Order: sequence, then structure tokens, then C-alpha cells
Amino acid sequence: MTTASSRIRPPLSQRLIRGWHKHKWSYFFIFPSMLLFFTFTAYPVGRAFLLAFQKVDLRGSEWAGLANFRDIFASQLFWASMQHTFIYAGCVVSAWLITSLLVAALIQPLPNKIQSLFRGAFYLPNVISIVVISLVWIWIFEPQFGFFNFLLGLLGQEPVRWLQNPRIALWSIVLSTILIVPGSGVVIYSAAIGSIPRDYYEAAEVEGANGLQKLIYITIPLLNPTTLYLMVIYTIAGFQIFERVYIMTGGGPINRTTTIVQLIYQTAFSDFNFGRASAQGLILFAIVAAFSFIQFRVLSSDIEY
Amino acid sequence: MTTKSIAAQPADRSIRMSPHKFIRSLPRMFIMLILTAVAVVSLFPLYWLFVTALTPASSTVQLPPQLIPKNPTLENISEIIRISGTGELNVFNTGWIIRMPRLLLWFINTTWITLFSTAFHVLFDAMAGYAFAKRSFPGSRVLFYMVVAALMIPGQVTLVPLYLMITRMGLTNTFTGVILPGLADVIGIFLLKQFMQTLPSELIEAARVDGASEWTIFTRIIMPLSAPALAVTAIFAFQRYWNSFLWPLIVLQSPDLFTLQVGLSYIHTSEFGTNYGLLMAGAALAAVPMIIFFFTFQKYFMQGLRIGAIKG
Amino acid sequence: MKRLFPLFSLMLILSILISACATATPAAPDVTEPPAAPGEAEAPAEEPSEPGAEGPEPVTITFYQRGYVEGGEDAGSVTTAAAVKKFMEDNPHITVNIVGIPWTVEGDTKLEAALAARSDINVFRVTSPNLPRYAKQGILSEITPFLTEEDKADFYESGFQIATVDGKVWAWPLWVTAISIFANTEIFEERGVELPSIEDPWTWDEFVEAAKQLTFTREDGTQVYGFTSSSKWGAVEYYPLMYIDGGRIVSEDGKTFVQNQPEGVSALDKIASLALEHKVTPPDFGTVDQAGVRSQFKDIRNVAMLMSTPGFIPDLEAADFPLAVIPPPVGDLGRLVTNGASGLYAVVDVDDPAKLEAAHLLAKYLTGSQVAKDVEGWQLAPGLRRSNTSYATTPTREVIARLVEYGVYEVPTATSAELGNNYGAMLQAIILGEMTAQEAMDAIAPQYQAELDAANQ
Repeated sequence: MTTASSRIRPPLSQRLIRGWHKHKWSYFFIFPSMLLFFTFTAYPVGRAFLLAFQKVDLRGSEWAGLANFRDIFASQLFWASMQHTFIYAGCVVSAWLITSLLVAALIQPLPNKIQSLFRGAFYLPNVISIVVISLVWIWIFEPQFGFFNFLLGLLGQEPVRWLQNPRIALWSIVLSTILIVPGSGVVIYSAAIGSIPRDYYEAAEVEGANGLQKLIYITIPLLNPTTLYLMVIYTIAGFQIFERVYIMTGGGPINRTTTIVQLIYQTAFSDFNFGRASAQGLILFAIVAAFSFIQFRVLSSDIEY
Repeated sequence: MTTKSIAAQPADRSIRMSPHKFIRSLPRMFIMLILTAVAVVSLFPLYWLFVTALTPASSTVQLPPQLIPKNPTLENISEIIRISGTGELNVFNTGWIIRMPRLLLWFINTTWITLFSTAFHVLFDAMAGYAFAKRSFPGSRVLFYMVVAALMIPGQVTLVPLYLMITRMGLTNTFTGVILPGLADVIGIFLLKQFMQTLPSELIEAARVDGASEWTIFTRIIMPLSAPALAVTAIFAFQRYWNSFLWPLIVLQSPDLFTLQVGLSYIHTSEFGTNYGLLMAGAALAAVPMIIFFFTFQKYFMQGLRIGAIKG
Repeated sequence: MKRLFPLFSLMLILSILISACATATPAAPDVTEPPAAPGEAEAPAEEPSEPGAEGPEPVTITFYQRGYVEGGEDAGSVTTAAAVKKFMEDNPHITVNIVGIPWTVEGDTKLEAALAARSDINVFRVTSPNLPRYAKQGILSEITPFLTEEDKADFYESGFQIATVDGKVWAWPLWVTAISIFANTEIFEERGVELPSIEDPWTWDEFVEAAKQLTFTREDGTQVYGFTSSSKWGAVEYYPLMYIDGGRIVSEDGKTFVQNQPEGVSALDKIASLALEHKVTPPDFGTVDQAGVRSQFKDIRNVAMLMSTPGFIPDLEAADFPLAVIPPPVGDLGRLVTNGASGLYAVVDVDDPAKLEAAHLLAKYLTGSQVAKDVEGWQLAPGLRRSNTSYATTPTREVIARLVEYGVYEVPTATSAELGNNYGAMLQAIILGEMTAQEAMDAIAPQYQAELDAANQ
């Protein structure tokens, strides 16, 4: 913008034309994805959010103000599932970030072929559907024949009712999630670590830095953009957890593992109450957006190598 | 692109090894042992999937499950082929009809949709990621935050409005109706922007000074340097599109147009319950191309390409 | 020009490829015109059509069928295709298009999306929980005008019960899965326990005695349990036991929650006692799902009795299982009861009377007694007509078929999934011993009643 207010500002049309010339390539680059985004994502999302304030059924919709939200906040199950989801997301996001960074850093020194092998080994489990993974864990936790209780038996301990005991079912599910290294995080951190130019490390070595110092002062800060990405994505994924829990416990026992998206899913696809489901979605969005806002504030920086 | 000369090999290896002396000081074997143990644990579900796929359906859900299949059999897969019947492939809508087992047809449909979607997803999101990362223009912040915000909305909520829109566009039961909303998935923009913003701007400036066009800068400089992030985006996109289920299910009605996951869902669950043998066999079949794709694109993680650009 | 070239080429390629895909139209409609055949009306003529109308107008209807894959070789697809083909032969002026939807929850979504977008649907397989909602939203066509006197006498009362909302019948009753107890006869023999029968059923105490006798540890250390049933919420199969003392969940007029009354509570106490007092159930009873209990019963064989749906019988027969089907025990009510899920065909209310009539004709045929004779393997569960005896092809199935008349079914009520979650949680709390039956039912009563009141306005 012009600084001297005494300068005569050029007419709007001229400014637009200049702006166009200056930015036309930018707009060209974003055009295809933004076109698709606005048509098929932003617009339906907007309509869905409007639905949050309406009562909807097959006949049509009518305005309902905050009625949906009142119903939601009055539901005890909603608050319980909030609590469960917060616990789950909190544990899982932190664990995932740490393990994927650690594993990626440990893999890095290894010879190429072995690196590939390990990366594959950690990523491949991602390609199978969550249904299968959940079924495996159901077996592992099975009280009579499951693997964990088998191990406990070897150690002379009593069998634990991992998924049947209302007090520990949620923690069992958390355990099942963090015991598996998140392949996506390993892959992304691998790519990012590999992109850090050697020069930085060489300079640090000249100054006499050891491995741990290099990790803390060079690698981790330079990975900030990646960490921000993973933190946001994992937070979203953590709060949107659904299938895994639903298959393993159905939200029980005694509703002690119900998650928010399970409620949304049931409200949308069992009750077909889209107004209320949209309202629940809006609440979830607000929570995740708040967390992401904080994360962006803390980690966002213009880092260039 | 940079090639690795033989003389450069030792140097390459030291480049590629992250100079974390702390870690190198621990016995290499010890680390590999731990990693291997963790990897085996992670891979167990995949192993179990293939074992169950090869176990006769009548004895599938066994507790404890058999870790080594006693009578490995392909009967689950042949059962899937049998049940799904035969269909017709209309090659690129030219009228050239090929009859084939539906399972194969579903494979072809899914491959086509997935490759097409992945290619354009990577391209479009790379373009947009680059613009958000390296170019400032009015509205860039707002748009970017909108993009990230869109990721936070659970998909269940937008399904019906989207379907109504597609119906009005007359795109039900078409591949276009399946592909277009899928292409609007913007998670790639976020990832690529984060990655691309770490690329040195001097390179771009230098190229501009040299008279390169914006498009050339993008294709000749940005894309190669971003190879690892592009590979990651491609792999994740491939996985998303390959396994995409709910949306294609809603949109597609003709069995000849089904994708793999959609078709399989009709087969393994009946009125009276789920046939786990068929479920696992289907999941195993669906997993194979994914595995192939992953290993194919792995090699782009190699960093040799990057170093050459800085030096030269 | 050089700068714009990439832009143009990109858009060109894009538009070519997209148009190539856009015209990937589906193959011709699934079921083609039937061959000209003498039009044998297999059922009495319907009142709404004018008598003596020659050559009725050709009409096309769309049928959303569960699990159907065109050209598929599974039992459901084959029998559906055959039944529809026969129907079109008998009614040459009617063309039926079949659209398949999977049995999964996503299939529900697909159906719902189609209804929301006002796509062509005339007949669809509706599930009991969804029936009240569709009825109240006015999209269904009442079947009563299309029932003949013969039909009304032929259907079991319980058949109409499961299709009635607000006093009107909104769907054609197809079949019901009468839940019974499957017994492993080998274990029974091993422990010297006699099997009961429909003529001579067990009382509750006799049942408990038998279950205790059937709970033991084998020499090799494996633990055998007397009884189990799928108990994960959404897949509860021990429902019949809730009714044996005369209790039920909702009153017969669908207006009041009554399971916290003494008859309901005592039955729940009995169920809980199996786990907590008599200890005849495995440790996962209360939370275990269908796949788990079926594996325990059929593969591991460490459970003597399994309460489950008749859909399991074909698997057991295929595995040569030593199976006997026995009725649930008799409680304070003094007579046999059973419960189960129902299959229904609903007709969508459309303005075109010809389509409406054709749709009802199709639904009536598919729920009639003739179709099982026309199409082999059609009858997968006991039909709800007295004249329909096609299900009882083996002794075990015969027991199931005879149990149907003892069925006690809840009136379909539109309650939310969340209420379902809470109710299921209460059941689990009772079985796990966290709450008594009275406490649990009193806890859920206000919420249940509130939803019933809202639904019945």
C-alpha cells in the first residue's frame, strides 16, 4: 500500500489491473485446487453448518435456532464422549509425535536399502483397513484366549478383562493405538530429515557438538514446519477417532468408550438427524480449530534452509 | 537430475547418514534389533490378514487364531470371484466391450480412478502449496486457513449435501461424480506448503533473474526439490483413493462401475452376519496394489537429487 | 504465448479426460423385459384395479434390494433375480429395475441418500428401527388397502405387529428370525443332560440346573461354559430372556416404557444371575459380539448352549455340528416366548397409482407363500404367513418355524441411537454387576419415556 497519504491513489481499475499482473501467476497456481475446493468442499461444508441450526428430515428442513445445540449440551452421553475423546487424543497425539520422530531419526543413519526396508515395515500396516487392525486387537485383548492374557499367564498373573472392564477399556484402546508406530509420521519425518542440508551438521561438528546436541538444536527446530503439520493432522485424527473404538467395544462397556464421532456417525446415519449431526460436527470443529490455532501460534515460523 | 557417480558413493553415504554421533555411538546392531522388534509388532496385523485370507471361511474366526495356516487355500478368493459374477468393461466409453470377471473389472475401475485422482491431486496440490509457501498474494492467509479448517470437519457431516449436489449435476453413477469431490481433498496443500516453505528462496530469485518463466521455475526447480514430499503426498493420496469407500458406494449404482471396496462390501456381509474369511480375503486383495505402489515410490525419498541443486 | 502454453495444455488435457470419464454411463437396466408369457395372476386380483381392464398400461418400478449384485452368484442375488423374473413373467406389463445396497450401515446411508434426493424408488427392504421414521415422515404407502381378507387371515398377528406404526400397517411382513437356543448335543451327552423340546420345555430353574451341569473343567484344563449369547450393544441376541416373566420393554400400545416394572426387572435379574451368581457364562458375556460367541460355540466348542438367530444354522450344518435346537426356558409368564429381528418390504408413496399398485403387487408376491415354491432357496427365515411352510426343511428349522407363533415383538418406535447406546449401557451394567436391574431400568426410564412421548406426538 502507498505510504504517503498525499499521493493521489490510482483509480480502482488501474489498481486491479496492476494487482492482476502482479499476482496472476499466484492465482493460476491455486486455481484448479481452489475451484475444486470451493465447489466440493467449502460449499457443502457451508450448507452442512447451516443445517446445524435447522431441523432436517426427508420432507425438508426448518429453522430451529440453537435447539440442536441445547439438546446436545443436555445429553450426558455427549459430555462423557467429550471426556473420552480428549483423553484419547491427548495421549495418542503426544505418543505418536515422539515415536515417529524417534524412529525416523534412528532409521536415518542406516544404509539405504535397510532404510527402505524399515520405512516399508512401519508404513505398510497403514494400508490395511482399520477394520482388520481392530479385529486383531480384539483377539489380542480377548480374556480367555488372547495374547496379552497369555503373556500374563506366563508371568503368573491373573487374566485382565481388557475390553470388558469399564474402568480400563478406554486405556486398553489407547494402549493399542500407541503400541503401533505411526507409519505416516515415520515417512514424513524421514522425508523432512533427509532434506536438511548437511552443511548445518558439518558446521556444528566443527564447533564440537555431539549427536544429542545436534538433534536438539538443529534437527528438531528445523523440523518445526513438519512437526506443526503432524501435530495438526494427528490432533484432527485423534479427535476424529471412531472406527477403531467402535469395532473394539461399540462405545461400551457401559458407554465408557464412546467417542464424539461415534455420536455424529450414529446421529447422521442411524437417526438420519442431519441437523443435529451437523451441530455436533460444528462443535467438534470448533474444538479442533482452537487447538490448531494454538499450535500454529507456537510452531509456525518462516523457516528456510 | 543428479546422478551418483561411483566416486561420489562414499561421500553420498556419509551425506545420507545423519550425523547424530550420539546415536551412532550406540551399537548399530542394538538399534536395528529394537527397530526390528517394533517393526515385527507393527507388521503383525498385515501378516494375520494374509493368513486369514488363506484360511477356509468356515474356520476363520478362531480363538486363538492359527498363526500358520494349516490348510492354506485360495477358496475365499475364488468364492469372491464366483459371487461377484461377470461384468462388462466399456473401454474409455468407446463401445469396445470386454467381458471379464467382476473382481478384475473392479480392480481396473479402482486403478483407473485412483491413478487419475492421485496424479491430479499431487499436481494441483503442489501448485497450490507452492503458491501458499513462496508467493504472497492477497487472500493467501485467509485461503490457507480455510483449507486447514476444512480438514477439521468430520466427513460424515458433508456427505448428504454433497450427494444432493452431485445428483443435481447429474453425476450420479458416473466416475466423474466419484472423482471430482475426491480431488477436492486439500490435505496435500497443507503438507506441501509446509515442506516447500523450507526450500531456499534464493534459488527461485536466481532463476527469475536468469529469465526463467514461473512455470519453468515450478517444474524445473520446485518440483524436483520437493520430490520426497511429493512422493509422500502421492503415497497418501493413492491410499486414500484406493481405499475410499463410502462416497463411491453412495454415488455408484451399477455393479460394472463399482470400485473394489464397494463391490467387496456387498459380498462379505449378508443379512445374517459377516463372513470374515471373505472380508479378509477381500482386504488382502485390496492391500496388494497399495504395497506395490508404496515400494515403487519409496525410492524418491533418496536425497541425492537435492544436494546437487544446492552445489550447482 | 510461451507462458500461457502450459496453462492451455493443462486445461485441454483436463477437459478431455474428464469428458471421457463423464460419459461412463452404466450398462442397460439390470433386468430386461420378460418374455411374453401367459399372464397368470398368482394372487387374487387387487381391488384398486378396475375389473376387466384389458392390457394394463406398462409400468416400471424400482426395487432397492439388500445385498443384491446384478449377475451375482450369492444366494441373495440369485434368489432375488429369480423371484423378480418370475414376477415379471406373471405380470408382463410391469418392469422391475433392481438396485442393490449392501447390508452394512453404509447401505442404510445409500438408501437414505437416494430417498433424500428423491431418486426413483418404489419398493425397498426396510429395517424395523427405520420404519417408524419413514412412516411418520409420510413417505410410505399403507398396505391395508391392498390386503385381501385371505391375506389378513393368513398373516400371523405378530407379523402385523412388527409393521404397525400409529395403528396402521406400513410394510409387508417378510419374515422373522425367531431366536432359540442352539445345543451342542455332544456336550449334553457327555454330562448326561436331557434336551428339552417345545412340547416339554424347561422351566427357568431347570434351565439353570442344566447350565450348571454343563459348566465344568475338562481333564486337559479347558473350561466349558453352559450358556452364552451375543451381548455387545447392537448385536444383542438374548432378547427372548427379557420376556419370559411377562415383561417387555415398551407397552403394547407403544406409549410407555415398562421394563422397570417387576416382570421386566425380574427377567433381567435372571439374566444377570447366570453370570454373577451361577457363573455359567464365559468371562466376556455382556460385551462379546456375534462372531466371538459363534466361534466359541462352533469352532472352539467350549460352550454348550448358544442363544442366537437361525441365520447361524446353515453354517452349523455345513460344519456337521452336533446340533439340536431347543426353545428358551419358560419363566413366570408360563408359556414359551421368543423374539427376533424382522424383514419387511415397504412401498414408497408416489402419485402414480399404477406404480403404487405394481409396487404393492411386487411386495405382496415377495412376502407371499408362492414365491418360496417358485424360487428355490428363497426362504431364509420363517415366513410370517400361516400358509408359508417352506422354511421348515430340516428338523432344526422346524423347531424355529414352530417357535414363531410364540413370538413377542415390540411395536416399532422411533428412538434415537443415543437412547439405544444408553439402554445398551444399562443392560451391560446389569450383567457386569455394576448396577441392579431395578436401578438400571429406573435410570433409563425418564430418558426412554421422554423419547417415546416425543415420538408419539
